[in-house]
Amino acid sequence: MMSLDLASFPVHSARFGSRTEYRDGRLTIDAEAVRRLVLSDPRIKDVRLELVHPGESARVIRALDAIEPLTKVKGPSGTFPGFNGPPRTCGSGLTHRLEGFTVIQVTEFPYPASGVQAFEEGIIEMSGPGAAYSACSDRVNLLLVLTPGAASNNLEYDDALRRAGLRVADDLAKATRDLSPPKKETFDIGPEKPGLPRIVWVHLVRSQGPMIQTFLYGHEISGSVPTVLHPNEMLDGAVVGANYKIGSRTPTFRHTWHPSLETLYRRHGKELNFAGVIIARGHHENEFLKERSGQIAAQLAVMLRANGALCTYEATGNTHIDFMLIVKALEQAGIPAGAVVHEYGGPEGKDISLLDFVPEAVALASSGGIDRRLTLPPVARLIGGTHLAHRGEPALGELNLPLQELYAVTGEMNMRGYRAQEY
Amino acid sequence: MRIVHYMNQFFGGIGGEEKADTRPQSKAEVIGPGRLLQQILGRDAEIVGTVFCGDGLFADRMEETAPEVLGLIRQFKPDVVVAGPAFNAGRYGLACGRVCTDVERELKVPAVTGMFPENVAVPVYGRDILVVPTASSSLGMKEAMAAIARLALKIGRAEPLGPAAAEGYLPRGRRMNTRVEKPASERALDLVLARLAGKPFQTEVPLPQYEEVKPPAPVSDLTRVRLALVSECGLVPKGNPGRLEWVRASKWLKYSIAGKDDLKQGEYEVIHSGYDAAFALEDPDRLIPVDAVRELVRRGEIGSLLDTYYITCGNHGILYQMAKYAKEMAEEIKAQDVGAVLLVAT
Repeated sequence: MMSLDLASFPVHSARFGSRTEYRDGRLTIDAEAVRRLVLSDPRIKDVRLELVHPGESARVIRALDAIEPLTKVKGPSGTFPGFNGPPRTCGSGLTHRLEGFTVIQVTEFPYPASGVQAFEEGIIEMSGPGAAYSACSDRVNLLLVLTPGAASNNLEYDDALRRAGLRVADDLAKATRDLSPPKKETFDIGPEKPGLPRIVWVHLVRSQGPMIQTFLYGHEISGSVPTVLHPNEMLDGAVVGANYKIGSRTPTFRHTWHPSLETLYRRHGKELNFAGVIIARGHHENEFLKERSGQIAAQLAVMLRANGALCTYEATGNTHIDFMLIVKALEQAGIPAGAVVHEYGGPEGKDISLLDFVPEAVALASSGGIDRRLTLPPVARLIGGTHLAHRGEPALGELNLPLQELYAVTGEMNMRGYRAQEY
Repeated sequence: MRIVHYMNQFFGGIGGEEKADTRPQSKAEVIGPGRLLQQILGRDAEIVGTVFCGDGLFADRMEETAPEVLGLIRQFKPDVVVAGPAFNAGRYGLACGRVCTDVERELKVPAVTGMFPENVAVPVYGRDILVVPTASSSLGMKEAMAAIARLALKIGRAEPLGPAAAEGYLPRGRRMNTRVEKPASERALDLVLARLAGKPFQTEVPLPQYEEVKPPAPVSDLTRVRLALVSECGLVPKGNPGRLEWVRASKWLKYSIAGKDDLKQGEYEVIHSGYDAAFALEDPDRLIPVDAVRELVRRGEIGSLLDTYYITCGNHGILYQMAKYAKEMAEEIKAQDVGAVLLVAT
């Protein structure tokens, strides 16, 4: 069927230099070349480049997407297809990636926004107690600190900065094209091993409108019903995150490398057969659409002859309802579902932990409570602004906030093995 | 480590139910089940005194008796207090629960007790104190004391306690974050594979129970009532003078609408960030419908409108806090001769 060789080039440190080059875990970046790539779009007026490393006393605010650089070396598609090239099926051939490195757009939006479109911080904390929860704290990050140009609205600007980030990511990974990789893995879900259960991964993503979107092959997903992907399509960037809502977002690097995909692939052929990925939209507007989506997702699992389902989701309350309806539909279709939920429960974990549930949700794994609070000590370096969006507080000093205001915290807490337990 | 042991008159060797009115007393010695406890503790800790009291007296006259017991305990200058175990004895359980609560609160000394999980004292004190689950009767003394001794040493050394299931105490109604080896996705997959293999499995998140809110009876005659407008929509006067938060609101507020026939565009803002507020900003009456209600009052279909609207922000609201705000608002609104509330949800 479909086989992908993924060559990983781990990045332990990065610096700016005269030409982009990868050597022994060290990435040198030609800042001028990156600037030219970014500024080729007139909707972006200016860009400043910054690097942050794990353990640094640094804090990043106004962070949007985070992309792990991928480039296609062999195969019929590009990476991030639909953005970098036509929307051709990806997931086969040879892809190079800069592992542990991320390109992050950092910016303010040019036009005022209110309500759900107002920007909410997901803070990246590179050291201290926040780093234990914040995504990207264990990665080397290139920050594209952008100034808006000729964009007629926030959506236009968002489109510009997404394309810029993906262009830069592809270009940086290209520096490894002719190198032999320290690590190369082959990803293939065939041939099936008889006698093992077929397991699907149901990946629920949030799409609510401007600022809260997810893209599939270059197009926003909110008009779609649940659909099936080969896991390799995830690895190659078929899904791009553009949900900037608070901490419970899934940046692109987490779509291209998700703990669900990792565990299913690792156990594929040994304990299970990885039957595929069902990607579904969360945050439908009403009960009717939520139920419809849940039913279609479960029916896809039936058509894939799945025996069981691993279900994960991003985001908060409204999407949580979609998620529970998928679990319900799967169980009713006779497909046992194991589902990952992040919990609420208030600052002390004494309040109700789930916003919504169905009685069929009998096998839940906890990725921890995101209402718990944390004090972040002052930092030496602050990037992205002077004050936190929404809260209006000065961002350089000590901050006390709930975990859910840290960057991509839900997926990260899943990955790092957080779990809420009774005390 | 100095340990003081609290027990009832029966275990204290005074007598059974006929001695349930035994007054609080203490001895600088190890008594009854304390011998087993001391044996398990070994050299790591010493029971320096035993305090006991009749169950009947403690239960019937708790407010006088508890301080007296506490005073006796204090005299021994304990590092840890052990109470019971009370097994399934209700009055003894209540006494142990109260003693442990007072010791921790007043003496700032850690305490541990043991009870049968269905002891009536567990729902009363179980959220505040450390209770080891025991058998229903003293037949389970050995296991109970072993568990109590282990925890007594741990809290005496001020070592942080792990989760209830791992440490062997009854959950205190708090869910705290821990870190385990496997990602949550992998644990969810383990659950699926266990189910498919017909193996036992245990969800990590017990489904919560919500309080059911029954809809009130319809208002019989709106033409005579005063109506109040209440919402969690986060509509506040421009500039958000009360500093209402965009998530997890820490308060509720009220604003005057006296003399206003409608809420003008530009004079209000929406701080709630969970819905698209564009339509509301265009006309704030879409959230707090002052214009429509004034019209209905003019037509005589509604008696009158309270000149204040009550507001909070429901985005990511902490449930028990929201319940508290609702109660406070309701009390204040009710005191203003209001007969109906229009609750606008978002």
